[in-house]
Amino acid sequence: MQSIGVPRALFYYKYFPFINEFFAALGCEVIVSPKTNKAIIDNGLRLAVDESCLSLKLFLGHVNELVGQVDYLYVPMMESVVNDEALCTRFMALPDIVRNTFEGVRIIEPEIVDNNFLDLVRGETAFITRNVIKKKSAFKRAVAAQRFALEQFLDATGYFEILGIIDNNRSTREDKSCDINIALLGHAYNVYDAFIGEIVANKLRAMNVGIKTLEMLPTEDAHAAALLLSRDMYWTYNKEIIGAARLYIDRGIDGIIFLTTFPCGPDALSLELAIRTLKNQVPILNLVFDELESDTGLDTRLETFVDMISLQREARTA
Amino acid sequence: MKIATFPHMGDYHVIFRGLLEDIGVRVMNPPPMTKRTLELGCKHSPEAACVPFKYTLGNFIEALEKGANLIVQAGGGCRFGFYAEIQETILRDLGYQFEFKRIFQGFGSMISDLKSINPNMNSRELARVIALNYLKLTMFDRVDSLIRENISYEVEKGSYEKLRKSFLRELARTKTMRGVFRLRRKTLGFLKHIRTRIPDTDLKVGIVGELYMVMEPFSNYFLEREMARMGIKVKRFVTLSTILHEAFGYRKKMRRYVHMGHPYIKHHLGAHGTESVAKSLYLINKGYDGIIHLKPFGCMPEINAMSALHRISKDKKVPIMHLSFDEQTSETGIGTRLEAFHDMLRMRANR
Repeated sequence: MQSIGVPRALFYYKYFPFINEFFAALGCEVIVSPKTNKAIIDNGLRLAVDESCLSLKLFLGHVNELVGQVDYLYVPMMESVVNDEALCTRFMALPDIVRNTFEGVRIIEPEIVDNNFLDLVRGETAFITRNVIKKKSAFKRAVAAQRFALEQFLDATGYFEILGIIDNNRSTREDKSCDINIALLGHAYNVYDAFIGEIVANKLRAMNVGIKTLEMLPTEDAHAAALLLSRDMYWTYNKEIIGAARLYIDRGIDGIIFLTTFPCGPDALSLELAIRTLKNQVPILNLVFDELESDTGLDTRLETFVDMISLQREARTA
Repeated sequence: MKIATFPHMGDYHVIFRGLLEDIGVRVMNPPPMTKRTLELGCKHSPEAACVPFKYTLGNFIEALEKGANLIVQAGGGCRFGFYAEIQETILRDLGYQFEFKRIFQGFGSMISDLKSINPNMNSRELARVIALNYLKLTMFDRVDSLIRENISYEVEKGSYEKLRKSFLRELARTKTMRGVFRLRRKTLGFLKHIRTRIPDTDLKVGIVGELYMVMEPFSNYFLEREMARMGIKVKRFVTLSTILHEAFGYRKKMRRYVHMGHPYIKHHLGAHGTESVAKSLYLINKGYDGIIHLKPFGCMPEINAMSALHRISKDKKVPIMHLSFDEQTSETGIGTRLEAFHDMLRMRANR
């Protein structure tokens, strides 16, 4: 049985149910790297080109955990998942970056353009089987598994349990007893990472603040809402993020925290536009994570932000 | 009355101005780039925006201050496609009143984009204007490239620069196709007559990287001029003509570049990253002594190329110098690195 390594970074957070089901249905063992830890961070910082965004550095740290432990690495080349749109160009280069960073790795690298994942049933998986019918059937099951997982998440926590991110006990659903609710918005690979968003979420929960994320909305709705804020934006994930901001404001959210890593190119421009347009409508905090871990700094900023929201509400009701 | 302006890009203002004037608007060149341009741009840009964003925003602010009221910007490629909307938002938030036209979103919309600048123009006349200025552009780049590749060999210092200046002046005055052909014949003739001498140690360096950084000399601290002064022959592939030509059969061309970059890359890296890898490998295989890779800090497609370029440099044992520019990059720092690079190339060549 072949083992397929999937790094717990970047595309993992969007597509793991699909990836897992596809390879499992073909009889492979799927191995995921552990949640981001100190070793992963340090290795990522060492292996990545210095100017890379933190998210990509973590990705390489995760790949490093898997190299030598698995037969193949699953690292797709992802250009676009919506017609006439694009993902950040770094998604296009992941296989080539891995190839040039690590010696002698075997990579499964389907090209995904305009949301066509069918490259997976062709040459890239010939080492598992050449039976295209079998692969297409596994593909269909994988698509169904992904859809099911997303539906699960919309009213419960299913998706992120599958990803192993949260326990069955805790819920990221809005806790009705929370006085203040904040939308924590950003790329899924940042918001749900143990080193980035999870730290913020834990701190907010400790302050008894309810948290909403992009994945708690139907992403098509968030994506469509982006047109209310921008006519030219073509990064799919960024559209989802700013569209979600718009939708949460309409639903009466108390504040928005934009979570980004330095130096994310698309975020720099798309969040600038969103903040300029929305800052008069709701309190907004822009949290930029870089590789320097400053817990105290983060605590201060979050406390100040939540305090400000409380004060503004008191002032309004007074 | 419309007074149009555009971003700086080397000496292409001669072409941009010609095109807009032929369309029938008054044109104001953006004021020459200075430190103030960059400072202004940075002050009003998001911190992690790439430096071409900041430079061009600075151009616009300075032109608006001087009375321009129509900004013409292009877009496409990596983040560049999104510049227009966010730059327009920033400028309007600053209180400037202006019209903003984004052109060249694709060839299909080119005629309608340009027509919207002057609706009184008829399509046939517009087509003639586009053809004329396209011809001027390709000639400009041909002469420019010839000069760039030979200027380090000139015997009489300044001979190429003198010819270049007079060529630009005449090009600006040329208003007919016939005039363009005549000027080309004349200029190419003069170029042949400039005395050159190839030195015993003929150092050849290729320049690859992000489009703006490569084409705008102010942003790269006049790197090519410095290298010519050091006696290094410079070759680069990135010009406005090649960018336009690449738009035809883009996918096919990208596949070709991926093929050229084998086995270091198997996929398109986005924008110009693939070409940076492909052309570097090509030049190294042709015996070039070194490569300089230019990019703004944070440029995603070019960072994509870096892993492959590091590998290529190591395998082929040819130095590739990576220069990354942001608003804090010191000119002296770049100068020092260039000198060191030059020394290293000379040592290796004389070994």
